[in-house]
Amino acid sequence: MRVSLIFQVLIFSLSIVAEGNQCLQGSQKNQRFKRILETSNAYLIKEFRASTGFKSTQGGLGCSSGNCSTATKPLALPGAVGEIPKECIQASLKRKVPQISHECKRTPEGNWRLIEHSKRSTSKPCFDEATVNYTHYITNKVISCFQGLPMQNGVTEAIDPAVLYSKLNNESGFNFTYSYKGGVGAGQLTGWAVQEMNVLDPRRTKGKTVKGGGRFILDNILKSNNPQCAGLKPVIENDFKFKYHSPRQINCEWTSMETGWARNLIYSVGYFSFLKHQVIGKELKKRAPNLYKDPELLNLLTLVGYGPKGSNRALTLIRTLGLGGSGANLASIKSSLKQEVYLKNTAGKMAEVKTIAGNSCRLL
Amino acid sequence: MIVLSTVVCFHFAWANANADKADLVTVEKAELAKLAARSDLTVKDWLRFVEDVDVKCSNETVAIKQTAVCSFYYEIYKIGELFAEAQDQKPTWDQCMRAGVTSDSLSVNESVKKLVNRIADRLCPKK
Repeated sequence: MRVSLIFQVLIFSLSIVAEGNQCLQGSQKNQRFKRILETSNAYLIKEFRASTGFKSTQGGLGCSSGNCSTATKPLALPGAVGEIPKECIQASLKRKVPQISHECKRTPEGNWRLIEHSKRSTSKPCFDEATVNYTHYITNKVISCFQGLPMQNGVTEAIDPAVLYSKLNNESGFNFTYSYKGGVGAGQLTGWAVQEMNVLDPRRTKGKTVKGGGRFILDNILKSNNPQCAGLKPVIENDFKFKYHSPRQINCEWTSMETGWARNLIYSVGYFSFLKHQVIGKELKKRAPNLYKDPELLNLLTLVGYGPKGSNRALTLIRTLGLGGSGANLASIKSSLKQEVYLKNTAGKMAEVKTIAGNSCRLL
Repeated sequence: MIVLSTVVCFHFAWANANADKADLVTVEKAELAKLAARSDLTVKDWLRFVEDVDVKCSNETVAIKQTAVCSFYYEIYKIGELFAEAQDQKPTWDQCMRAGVTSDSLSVNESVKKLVNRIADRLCPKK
């Protein structure tokens, strides 16, 4: 009798451990993401299944050997550019982000149904290894599509995966379901970003369709011969059919696994490039032409633009830190920039993820 | 006693710098409001004002005041840049709308945003 009781307690404990191992976040009972990856006809998911040899498994993170990256076929990225390794995404997803999660469900009529999960909900969808693999796949696909993409001022884009990693880790910890009124999805998109990247809010333009300042980036992705952009084109083409995608009104368009995750990332990285080159970079080039060529400085200033005073703060710092002066001390300027609110927050969250990842993430 | 005097002096200087900063921006805002109210406002007047604030941002030597005036400059500069880049030709309505969104996103002050929008509305071509 006693042996049987001990045995039952042991089985129960093991099941808890197993559940913890299978889901980085969410409940094992909610396997929506796994089902979507197995059955969805969304273009990117089909491409993911085909190019990674995705097989339906019984879950489990499969990282006990300590080398999770071998679970997915490596993407054909240029060696010098690199990618965000899966271990880093996995560690980021383990970080606690106190946000409301939105689960998107397709109704039989093909519409979205949004299920809101509070911070304490115990029925959020499970982020298992397949979901981590897909997150890894989509993130690096978007990064590699942006590499070499033409900007308007004669330069081509070069995304530093470490910078994008720190940004996504700070915004959502790579959880594409997180949303609140100040930001939506993995990149915590705002209405400003969406207007700049596609078309302006029709309430502003009396119903007329007016392209935003960063729309050329989406147009350039459509024109790109880079094979990594191919899978992203259907998402953008679909967007052009809509007049305006408000991140608040059509939440699943920005947070669903099927297309929302990729759309959110394309717009988030696109808006980062827009701010970097067309707003902050343009002013930096005017005031301190040589410093525009310093990618670290440009990235730091762009990140400052995501802080409380937005890009205004970054532009103001170009002047007040004397970036245009002949005796500008670059090391000291960069160190001042790192004290700005957004960069301090980012550094704090990178420290959290470093504790989680140990030595497994080479970007830390 | 010396420490106390130093603290009092520092506090007084800091308070003064803050008051000056407020005065400086108040003066510029008042000027902006006057421009926004003018029915005869020209692109030339507007560009002169934007350039004047730009020079003040470059020349200000007190850090706190420079931050204030430069921040104000970047609230108004996109609509200035729009007309400066168009040069002799007027920007199109679409270009005005586009610059308006970027300008609004750079605004940190609701009243400045409204005034800049009023000026853009006055100078931009009608739909």
